[in-house]
Parts: sequence; structure tokens; C-alpha cells
Amino acid sequence: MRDMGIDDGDLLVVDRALRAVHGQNVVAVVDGEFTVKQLHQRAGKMKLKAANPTFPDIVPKDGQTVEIWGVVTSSIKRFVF
Amino acid sequence: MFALVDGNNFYVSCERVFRPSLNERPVVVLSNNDGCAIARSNEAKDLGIPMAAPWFKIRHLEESAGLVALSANFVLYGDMSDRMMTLAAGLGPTQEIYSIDESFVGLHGVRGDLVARGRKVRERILQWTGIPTCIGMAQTKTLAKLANHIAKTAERKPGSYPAEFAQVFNMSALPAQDVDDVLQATDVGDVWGVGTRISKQLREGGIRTVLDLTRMDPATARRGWSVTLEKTVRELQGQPCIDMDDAPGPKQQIACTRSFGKPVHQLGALVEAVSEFAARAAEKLRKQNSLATELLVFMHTSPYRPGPQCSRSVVVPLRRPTDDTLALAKAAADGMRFMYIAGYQFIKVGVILVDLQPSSVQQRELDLGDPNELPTTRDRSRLMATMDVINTRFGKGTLHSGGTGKPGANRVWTMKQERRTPAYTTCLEDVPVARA
Repeated sequence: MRDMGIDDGDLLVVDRALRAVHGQNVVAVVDGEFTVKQLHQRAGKMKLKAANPTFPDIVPKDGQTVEIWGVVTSSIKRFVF
Repeated sequence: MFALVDGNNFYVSCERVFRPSLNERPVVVLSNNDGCAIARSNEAKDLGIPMAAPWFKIRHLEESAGLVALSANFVLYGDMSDRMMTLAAGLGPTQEIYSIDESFVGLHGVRGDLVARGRKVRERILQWTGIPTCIGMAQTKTLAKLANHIAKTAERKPGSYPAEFAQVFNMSALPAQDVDDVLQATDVGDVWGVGTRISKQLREGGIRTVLDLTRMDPATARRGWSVTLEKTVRELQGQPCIDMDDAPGPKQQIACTRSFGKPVHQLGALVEAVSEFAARAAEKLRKQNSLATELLVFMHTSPYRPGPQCSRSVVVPLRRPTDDTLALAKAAADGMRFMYIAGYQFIKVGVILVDLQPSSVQQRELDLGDPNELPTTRDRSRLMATMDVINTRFGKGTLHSGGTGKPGANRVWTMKQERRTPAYTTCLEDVPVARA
């Protein structure tokens, strides 16, 4: 997440009204859980990349859709919790 | 022309937005005190769970069918409702919010393909809030409600109605013969304003379908039932009789009542409870700019539990019309002390403010000065206003009168809410978490 400008513990502002576009950070639903990824969309194919290369990309199989829950528009860094 | 927009299984849908793992699973939302099911997902309905099913009767389905039961999270539902209603308003020039999940929208002067417009609004609500909705449109409010019911049923039960009626249905665009077919296929009990009692009477008189009711002479409806049913029949016939009500009048009575999580017999706890309820009622009173002249306090034991039964109430007259929390809390506490009797397990108490009048009307009185009575003539309206502002900003109960006791879930009389989800949209500590 760090390469995306998002650190552990950040407060994200997520907008559901925006249509996600290639290169944007999004909140997606994978296996019923919220996850933050970067959206890659090329030639009609979509995949969700984790900023941390040790995490696998999420590539929907044929006929499967991964739900984009919203677009991350800001990340608020918190120094005191 | 009117539209009726409503959320599908609204409470469940709100929960699913923030917990997607609940999608496609049987889910119910339980009422206050986790008593009975007040919302069910379609999967839960398919399990045969009826509306208002008591929890103890269905809890075995947790094990056997993977049923998930959640305590009601009204803070969340209220906020999600605000968002949905704001978007639904885009459908037309006027809006009447009918309940937490339903809204009429006036379509006067709206041009173009109404179904296409309805689909756009439905899509926007789904995208922006995550709540699936259905929209019914027709020439009267009663027909719009019916159209909404048909749109919902067409989606949920394929084959019940033509598939193109699903989700968004404009009944006024249908040719008359097709409308008759639809009304013929719908039970009279599904009409707005026709409850179990009236539908039973109608069926006994041979009126079983909505089409039958539409063909009734309105005068017969008034004679045999009431002017309300007459209006319903006229509306079914296409004659608008019920207006858009965009600003409902102030309430005539304000109540705050609660059942306890477990029975309470101590006077102290009961006084705390009624003081709290009086304070909450006072907030609502001030919000609608009214004053109360009388306060009713009641208490009773549970008819479902063993033990001696007791049901009592007392009306406390207020010396002058007031909206002051401290005066009302004191009146409620005095009333409770007056009628309290030891030895009973009380399960519910409540405070009802009655005989309300607008605060713009100031009633004066002869000051016949009782030397023993404490002077309460000091105007505390600024104190009340400040209290309301602080409680709105920092949360309910931030400032409260001493009589209500220390707030928190360890009060003896708080309701049971064992499975409540976080306040995802209104409390920063509760926002959902996403992983890398």
C-alpha cells in the first residue's frame, strides 16, 4: 500500500459516486472482505493490483466479477490515535 | 402523477453495504431487545420466516440454515435513509418522506420516458449508497404504492407478473386491459390502507382481487366502511384524493417508552429510566416548538412471565406549559415515586407528553404565590437550547440531568442489543476496515 501513498492505519475517504478509472486506488470486495487495491483496466480486462508486490494480483476469472465498492479519493495520515 | 420509491428489505440492505459477506445469505434484523424479526432478507423469507417472527422461535435456524441475526442499528439506518431520500428526490419536483425506507415523489411536469428516468434514479441510489430499491409510478398515491408492490414482486417472484414490470413499473403507461389483468392478479389485501381486518370483511363480501375493489361504488365503500376506504376506491379508479404532504404537522402527543432487557423492581432504576425518557421526549418537544401541559407515566409487568401482574399509570399535571427537560424529568420522577409499588418485576415503562400546544402561545397565570413551592420562574430556555446543541454535536446524552444516572450499557434497565453492528457512517471509531 505504501507505493500507493497509503500506509497502515490511514483513514481513507471513499467515494461510491465516482466510476473507477485505470490507475486509481479503490476499495474492492474480495471474498466478502474490503480490500484496498489499485485498479488496472486495459483492453476490456480488469485486475486489482496490490501495491505490495508480495501480495498476489486479483484477476477475476471468466464470468466472475469483483465488486468495486468505491474510489479512494484521499488518505488521511494519523500520527496520534 | 406520483412515484413511490422504497428500499428492498431496507434494514438488511443497509447492513449488507458494510458487510458484503452477508450477501445472498439468510439475514434478519431483530427489534429492540432482540425480540422479533423486523426485517428479513429474501433468503430468510424463503426459509419461511414470517414478518415479526419472535427470535426464540427462529433461532434454531442459525445452526441449521446459517441464519444471521443482527440487532437493529437505527443510527445506521437513519443515516442511510437520509442519503437514499436525498437521491430519490431527484426523481421529481416534490417529495414526501413517508417512512424510513419509503418516499413519495411528485412527478408533476416531469417529461419524457418516466421508466427510463426511474431506472436512472434507481441505478444512482444503488451505486451511490448500495441500497437496491423499487419504484412504482401511477396517477394516484394508492396506485403508485400498488405499482411499487408489483415492481417488487415481479423481481422477487419471476412469473408472478410480466418481467418488464420488475424494479421500475409505470402503471399509468399500461393499456387499460393490461391494467385490469394486473389488478386481477393482485390480492385485495395488498392495497395501501386495506389491512387484515378490512380485507377479511371484503373477502366475505366477495371482493378478493384489487380489480374487484376498483369496481366497487365509492358510496358503498363509505357506507359500509369509512370515508378512508372510499378515498382508497376512488384512488384505485384513478382519481387522486390524497395530496403530497411535504411537511407533516406537529405531533399531538410525544411518547418515549421502552421495554427493559431484564425485569426491574428497584425504584431507583425506574426513576432513572423515566427521567431519561422524559428528557428524550423533551428534546422532540423542543424540536417541534411545542409545550406540554400534562405528562403521563406508566409501568407494567410482563404478561408472558410468571409472577404477580401489575399495570399502573399516573397523569402529572404541569404547573405551566413547558418544554424544560428538568421540569419534565422531575414530573416524571415524581409520578413514578407516587405510583411505585414494591414486589413486582416491571418490564416496561414509558413517558407520554400530552395536551401539547405551540410554544408561540404564552399562557400567563395569576401568581397566587405558594410560599412552600420552589420558584421555577427562571427562564431556562437558553439552557435547553445549549443542551440540545451540545448533544447534537457530541452525541446523545453528552449532557443529561443528574436524575438519569450514569449513562452506559451497565444501567440496570438498558435494552438488550447483543448483536448490533457498528455505526459505520456516523462514528469515526466505527468505520469499516480494508486490508492491503
